[in-house]
Amino acid sequence: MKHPSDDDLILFFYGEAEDAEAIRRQLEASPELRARYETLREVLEAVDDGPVPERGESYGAAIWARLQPRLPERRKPAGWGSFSLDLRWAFAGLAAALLLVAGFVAGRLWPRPEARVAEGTDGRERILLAAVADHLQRSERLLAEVANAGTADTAVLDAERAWAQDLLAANRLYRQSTRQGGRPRLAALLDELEPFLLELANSPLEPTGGELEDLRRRVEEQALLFKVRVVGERLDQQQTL
Amino acid sequence: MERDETRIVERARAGDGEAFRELVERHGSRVFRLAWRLTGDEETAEDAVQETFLRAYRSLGRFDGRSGFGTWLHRIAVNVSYEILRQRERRDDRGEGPIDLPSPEPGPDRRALSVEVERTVRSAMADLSPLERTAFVLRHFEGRSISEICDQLGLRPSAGKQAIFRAVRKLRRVLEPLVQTVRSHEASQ
Repeated sequence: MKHPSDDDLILFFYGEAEDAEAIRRQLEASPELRARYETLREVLEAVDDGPVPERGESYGAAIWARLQPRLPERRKPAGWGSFSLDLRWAFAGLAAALLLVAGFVAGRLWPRPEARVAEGTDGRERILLAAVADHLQRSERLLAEVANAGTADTAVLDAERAWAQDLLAANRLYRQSTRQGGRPRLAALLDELEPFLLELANSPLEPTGGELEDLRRRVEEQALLFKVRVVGERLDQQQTL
Repeated sequence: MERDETRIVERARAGDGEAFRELVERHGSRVFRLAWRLTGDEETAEDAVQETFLRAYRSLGRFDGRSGFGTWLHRIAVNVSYEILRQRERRDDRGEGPIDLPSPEPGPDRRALSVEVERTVRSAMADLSPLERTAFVLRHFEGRSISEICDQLGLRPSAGKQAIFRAVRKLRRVLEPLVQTVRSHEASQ
């Protein structure tokens, strides 16, 4: 057998050399080859040094808590699942209309937050809220695009994926900042938005029509677009006061 | 255990949410470990865990039971992590900079060298391309054969081998001087 190359030694280290016995004999016979192999072995063993971050016993439960709201409904043999598609859309439309009315009424009855902003907000909070308002408006445009897209055009999906990646990083930052800044409801909305951004950001390069349809359906069912729009507009108005 | 899991998978396929939750709890840590090795970043690994279970849930109907559920999940986790790495690379190409890898705090003096090795390993791993990193992690940490790796990533055998060779060469370039320092340090004691 020819003198083993570094690549042969790598395969030998992993137990995948074609002629392991011949390499073993050459290693025994050649101190120079043995030294080369020893260095390779030490390097590869050093790669084992990094400890994996610990996850506690309740980690599975923590995954589930974050995952469960994102899981699509399983079709049941009776009840909602047995409705015709048209009827289900009618129900969804009715729910959206009720939500709209509820949002309007709540907006009229609840104390207007801008008073609090005007009184107690310092410069940093103003900057944060302006940034969140801008973030929500950009997220709204993305969600609208997803909700209205008719086909799975690869170029469009690529652009949406890149867009979602940008928004995802910002969303995490704003979610933490708003929570720390005593804005739990705003943080909750960003929390709700995050799984959608995450899913879009990590969507397969060629998603199936079913996957896209599922995403659109969930955007609609959770009235996410509507919520993001309303809160984004409100924040924007606060900034211009 | 295996037959028990088969029953749980069957229940999950039939729409039993509690059964799927049990699968998540059984396999969550293992999926995280794999995703962390592949992505090198805790937050990204957490995203990959979520995405893996979400895809598994949606695809349960297509799980034919020929392999174990854990093996099937492993495949999904590898593909999800690989996609995330590729997206991260594209983002880095757009000049947005890589995700910062947290480096461990320096320990006491006697640990300083091994901390340095650990930091260098992480940094060298972060410099691998998505394909090199995925192939190397699967071979080195997960003990998958090259043919399994090629099958999983849809590569020709020569391409899989070359990805691993390139990864080892890159790691060697930065780690070899350190390994030699460690060796001479140990010899002097």
